[in-house]
Amino acid sequence: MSSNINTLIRMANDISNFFNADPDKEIAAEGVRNHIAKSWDVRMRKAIIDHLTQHNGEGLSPLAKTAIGRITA
Amino acid sequence: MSIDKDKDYGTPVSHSTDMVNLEIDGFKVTAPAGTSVMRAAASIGIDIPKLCATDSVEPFGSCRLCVVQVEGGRGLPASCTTPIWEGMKVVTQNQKLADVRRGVMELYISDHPLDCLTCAANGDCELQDMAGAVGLREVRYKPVATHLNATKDTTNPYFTFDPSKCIVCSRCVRACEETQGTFALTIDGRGFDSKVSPGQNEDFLSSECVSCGACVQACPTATLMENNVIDNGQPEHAIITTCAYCGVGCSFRAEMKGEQVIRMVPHKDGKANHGHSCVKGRFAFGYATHKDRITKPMIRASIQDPWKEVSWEEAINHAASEMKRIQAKYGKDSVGGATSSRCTNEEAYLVQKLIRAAFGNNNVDTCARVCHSPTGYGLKQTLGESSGTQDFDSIMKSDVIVVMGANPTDGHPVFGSMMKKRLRQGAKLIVIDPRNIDLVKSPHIQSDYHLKLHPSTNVAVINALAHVVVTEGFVNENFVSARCDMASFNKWRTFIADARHSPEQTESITGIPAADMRAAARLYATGGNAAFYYGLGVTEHSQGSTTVIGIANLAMATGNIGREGVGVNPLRGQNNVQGSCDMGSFPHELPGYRHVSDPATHTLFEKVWNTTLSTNPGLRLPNMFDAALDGTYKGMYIEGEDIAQSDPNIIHVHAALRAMECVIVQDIFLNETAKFAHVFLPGASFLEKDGTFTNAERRISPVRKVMRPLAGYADWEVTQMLSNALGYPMNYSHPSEIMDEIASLIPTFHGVSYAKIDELTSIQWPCDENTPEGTPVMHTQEFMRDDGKGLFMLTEYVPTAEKVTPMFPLILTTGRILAHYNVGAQTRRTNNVAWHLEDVLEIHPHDAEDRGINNHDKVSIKSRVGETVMHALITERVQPGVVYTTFHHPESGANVITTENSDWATNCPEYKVTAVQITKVMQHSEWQEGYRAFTDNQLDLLAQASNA
Repeated sequence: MSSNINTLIRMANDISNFFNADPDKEIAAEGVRNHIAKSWDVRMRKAIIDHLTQHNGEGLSPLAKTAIGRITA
Repeated sequence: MSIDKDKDYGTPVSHSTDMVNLEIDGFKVTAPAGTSVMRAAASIGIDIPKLCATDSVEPFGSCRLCVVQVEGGRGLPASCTTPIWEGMKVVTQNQKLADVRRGVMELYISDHPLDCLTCAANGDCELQDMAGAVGLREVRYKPVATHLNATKDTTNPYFTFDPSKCIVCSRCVRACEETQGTFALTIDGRGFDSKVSPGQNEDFLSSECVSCGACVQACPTATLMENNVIDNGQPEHAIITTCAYCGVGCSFRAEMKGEQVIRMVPHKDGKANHGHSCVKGRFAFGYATHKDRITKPMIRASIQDPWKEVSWEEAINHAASEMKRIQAKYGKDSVGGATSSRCTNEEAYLVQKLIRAAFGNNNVDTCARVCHSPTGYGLKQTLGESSGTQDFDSIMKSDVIVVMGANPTDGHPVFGSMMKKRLRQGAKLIVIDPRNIDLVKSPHIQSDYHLKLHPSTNVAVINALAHVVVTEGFVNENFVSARCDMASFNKWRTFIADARHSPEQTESITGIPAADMRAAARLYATGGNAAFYYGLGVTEHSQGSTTVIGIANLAMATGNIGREGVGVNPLRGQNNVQGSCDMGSFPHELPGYRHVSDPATHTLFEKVWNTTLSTNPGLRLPNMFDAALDGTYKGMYIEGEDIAQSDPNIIHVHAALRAMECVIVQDIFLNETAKFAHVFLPGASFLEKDGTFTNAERRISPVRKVMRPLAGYADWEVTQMLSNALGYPMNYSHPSEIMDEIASLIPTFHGVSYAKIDELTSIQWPCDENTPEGTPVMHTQEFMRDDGKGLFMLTEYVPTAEKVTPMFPLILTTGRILAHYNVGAQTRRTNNVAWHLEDVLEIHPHDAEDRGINNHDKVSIKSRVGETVMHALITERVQPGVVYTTFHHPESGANVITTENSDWATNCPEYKVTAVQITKVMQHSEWQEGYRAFTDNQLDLLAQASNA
């Protein structure tokens, strides 16, 4: 889904914006990770992981980067 | 089968628990205090003659036909307006009473056409019945003046008003007031000149009449009569079924002549609607037999080819082989499908089962994705279950009603009428909406607070209300400590108490004066039973789920949950959107809202379905479109959903559909999506099949076949044939067997069966061993989360990415109108077009003047993603800076301009916030020209199918 990576980045950042309200950033990161793991299709998860590893997660918020780093496709 | 009518007890039921003993014609009777003599008599089978009384409206006492004698009393009181009392002795029949009644009837008949044999109401006329009941044999009066030549009003497309047959009993006027709450009718004039008048002596169509049919239902003569009855005669049998329009799920008697529906009459014992209806359910059923129905399966190789009509066997085999070919070439996950919220529970269940078991993946989604998916997420997280908490009747115990982002009088009209009834009884009303919806101010209704927020600021509003609750000491500490997760509450309390959430600091964001915000919060928290009702104005935002969570937080913090009169109540859009979600239509959840990776659930379903299931979440609808354009998603089975019209940024959706190799559409019409299809499987309307719908209050109601499927099969049978052709066997012989399987798999359905539904007429889930007759109000003892505690979540306001700029300075928000339903595929094929022929753009006078726009001018609506053209309607219903339209007509292209911004949790589109510019133009948009050419071509290709 490489052509849709911008959509995935936006989605990941939107999810992070919600969980970022938690002052405990460990809980926030786990919230983002859990949400993506439980609601994204494998090809979407793989695409965002590839984006993180190959492009240093350009465009992703810090919280999103932390969470995606913990996801397995 | 027969046409047995609902019994009319003459006056409404009394709900008093105090019982009164009396004697009527020598028979002992016991009835609740407040019951009328007429109703008490009817309860033991003594039907006192009546004309102006009916049990759907309060007694009026005008016709004097129902007079009785009461021992020790003076005169002859009307039994409809006389309440019973302890020890009362009533006589309903003697010579004196008979003489009075005969005299009354003689006067009525002296000014009534004596055309019973040719009258449309012949056989169903209370005046005729009463003439017989009182033994009227002659009319001695030779009237000098009569109303016999009064002119008929035929402007309403569904019923005729014939004043020559009117007895001025006021039942229609009272039904309009009490049942519907519109106050469109009145008795104009005095004495002999008295007549029923819509509005200010207008005709019915021009008046405020909303064509709900309550007046027609209440009329005891042929004065207000359905045109279908006038044209076709009286029905001969009736079958109880459930309306297939909005999420209220009204119960109807389909009154039939053979397989022809003569009329749909709201069922008096319907627990969702209590005998009321709206223009759609009552009258707009003609689409089911519209000439546009497609009744032959069709296939074609590409969307440039003409359709070819084929046998069911060929169509099913072709569809299955195409899906198998695609999966073999592109992989197991390259296909998927969509269930329909317009189809039955059993049908939604089968489609998702086919996708999971026969396709072998979880690429299933449903139209709830674009409406109430945030409700499912937000309420599941906080309260533990993806549903509203109350039954509709609960509102009659509410003291404070909050309506947020919903327009019940248009979107859920029958419930809207119930809400208005409660408001007329004195409940307080807070409206949170950018527009002046009817509830803000209408006859005998005035909101106490209208929080006219800027679109997209819902979360800031909810947070500000919660801030007041927390900082002004309105938290229900006992409720919270007993019922909620305290760690989450304490964290939330600290969060929400921060000054950034205060009404004063959010005023510039929301546009709501801080004083109004504080006053509304105080009213909600301290005004007694307070209930939240919300709609798509809450969910269809980038923070839709956050707002739902915020509402749940607010309800828990104030203790407004877990009993009658309170709660969190999503007003669901489509007839079975709750049910389709319950049935496992989301790509990450199996039936019963359990995650596909949950080991116990996964094991259970693999065992019962006898197959291997994927534990990976599938694609959501918008993800499917992206994947199609990316080349990894190539085939789709779509039942009863029109994604090519209803989903946002339809240019993107159309491109995705064009990119697929096999699109299978199962529908009753060649809808917009079917124009991109390769296989068309003709569907069945709700009149042509058995099953169940689940409405917004979790009520599972029966859908019953009143005519054979026009194409030969009900939708569940088509899905079953496709599954068998794909190699996954399904062998149900009746939808009741599907429900039995559902009940075995979903804990909250364990007690549901067709036998139970027939016995109780409907059931609200959860229905299990502990709640064998269902659950009207949820969370009464504990929440449905694993630990039983309500969970507070933090709801930071995050502004939408959709910003107004000098280039796009206005915010477009979209919605619905009373006469039409969703994409309009059904209602556009009925006479409802008399009220709404096209979608128009509502614009405030200031914004119109700035742009030199006059009423009805053609205007361009241009956003960052597209442009369309509509006619302008200048109105103060919208605030400056905001424009509004509906999306009921495909050629309007409302979703050409909406963006792909979506809810963070569920990808529910942000339909309610699109930055646009409006300019006066002379011609349609480029997209509209292209749409017309494409549609003309597709209709030509369709015509070639039947020609071939």
